[in-house]
Amino acid sequence: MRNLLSFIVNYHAFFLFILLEIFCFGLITRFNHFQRTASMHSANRFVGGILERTDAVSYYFSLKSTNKDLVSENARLRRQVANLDSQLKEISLPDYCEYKDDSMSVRIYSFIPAKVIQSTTNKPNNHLTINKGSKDGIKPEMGVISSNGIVGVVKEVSPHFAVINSVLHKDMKFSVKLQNTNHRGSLNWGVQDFRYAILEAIPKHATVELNDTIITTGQAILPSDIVVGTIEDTKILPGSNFHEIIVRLSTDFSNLEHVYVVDYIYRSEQDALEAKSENE
Amino acid sequence: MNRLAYYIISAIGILLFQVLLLNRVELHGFLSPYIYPLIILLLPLETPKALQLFLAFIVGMTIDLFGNTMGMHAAALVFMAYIRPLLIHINRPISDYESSDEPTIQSLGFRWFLSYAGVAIFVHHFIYFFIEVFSFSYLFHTLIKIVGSAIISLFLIILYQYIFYARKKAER
Repeated sequence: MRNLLSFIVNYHAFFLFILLEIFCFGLITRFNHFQRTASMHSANRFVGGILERTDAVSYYFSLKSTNKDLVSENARLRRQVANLDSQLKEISLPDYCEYKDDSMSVRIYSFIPAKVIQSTTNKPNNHLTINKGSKDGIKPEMGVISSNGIVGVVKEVSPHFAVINSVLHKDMKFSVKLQNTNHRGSLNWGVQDFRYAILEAIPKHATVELNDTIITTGQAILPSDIVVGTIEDTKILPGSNFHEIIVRLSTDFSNLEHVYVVDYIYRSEQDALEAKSENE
Repeated sequence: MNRLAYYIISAIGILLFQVLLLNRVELHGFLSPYIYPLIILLLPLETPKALQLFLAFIVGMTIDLFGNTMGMHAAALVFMAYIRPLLIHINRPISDYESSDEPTIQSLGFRWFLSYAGVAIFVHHFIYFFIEVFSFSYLFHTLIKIVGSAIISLFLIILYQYIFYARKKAER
């Protein structure tokens, strides 16, 4: 004890020096923001370095579940993109979707956008399958158009799909007219080439010029003034009273993607009336 | 004039000169001279170690209060005060000190004072500037700052000696 005391007394200056310096450094780190953060930082760098290394190891072991999460997220995002894409296409309908009948100023047609999921062009009777069905309000005998022109008529409907008889079908006949002269005729495929169709029943006296535009007449299933195609070639067979016109179809059936099913709002009313008159 | 009173007055004068003038000086943007260690350097040779340390702490804290650098100057000056007896011992003349000797140029000569104050000031500046940056990242920059500031401080301290102690001598 005595030795200790004498030791402290002998070295009192050294102990005082140590005490004062500790006190000073306490003040420095207590009151000077920069030095405080700097001293904490170097302490944290040591601890942080260890944590970082252990984290890198544990991250490696969780790669599998991370991967799974990412894959499921990817799938979710893909679904979302596809959804938004189809919504976008439904929004950007072509101009004639805003079609209104002038006399009534009421929209009498509504359009259901759909995507073609299967189609043929090289058979005697060609069909298209679309990804919308009765759940989307599609019924048989509805007209189908694309942004370029007419496509066909709905034939069969299931809850989620519909089969369309395209223009390229030997039973299909469409009522069409010449845009310039309003002469009406009947469009039928007839030729075995998906680019062309035959227009019949245009009287011999009508002036028919090459590249004239053919449009729909607007009888029930299709709105009027929808482009069908242009006149590619015309001739009058001997002894016939009618032109035989070859029409270049404006719809390219070989790469058809998006179509619009035309819903004629007064169709049931019109059908009922016509059936009644036929019965009498 | 009483030796103690003269010492206290000159200490207050050095402190004021330091905090009011030199603290605002920054040569070339980063050289800042500190002459206040002179207060400790001018203490009588036989001052008790503990008293030196206490005085150094008080002087350092005073500078810190004005400079808003809590503890930094005090830490540097306490360290300088701790090694001061060693410096005095190393620089002793062959015939050892006489009781009338003071740690001034007039009493012990220019060379003695230069090696005594030079080492003390350099140590003080070294510690102070390293506490200030608190990092070894800017080592070269800090060393230039230390050496440059120490040279200017030393020059001012020697100038002070010639101005005031020469007058004191003349008064006698």
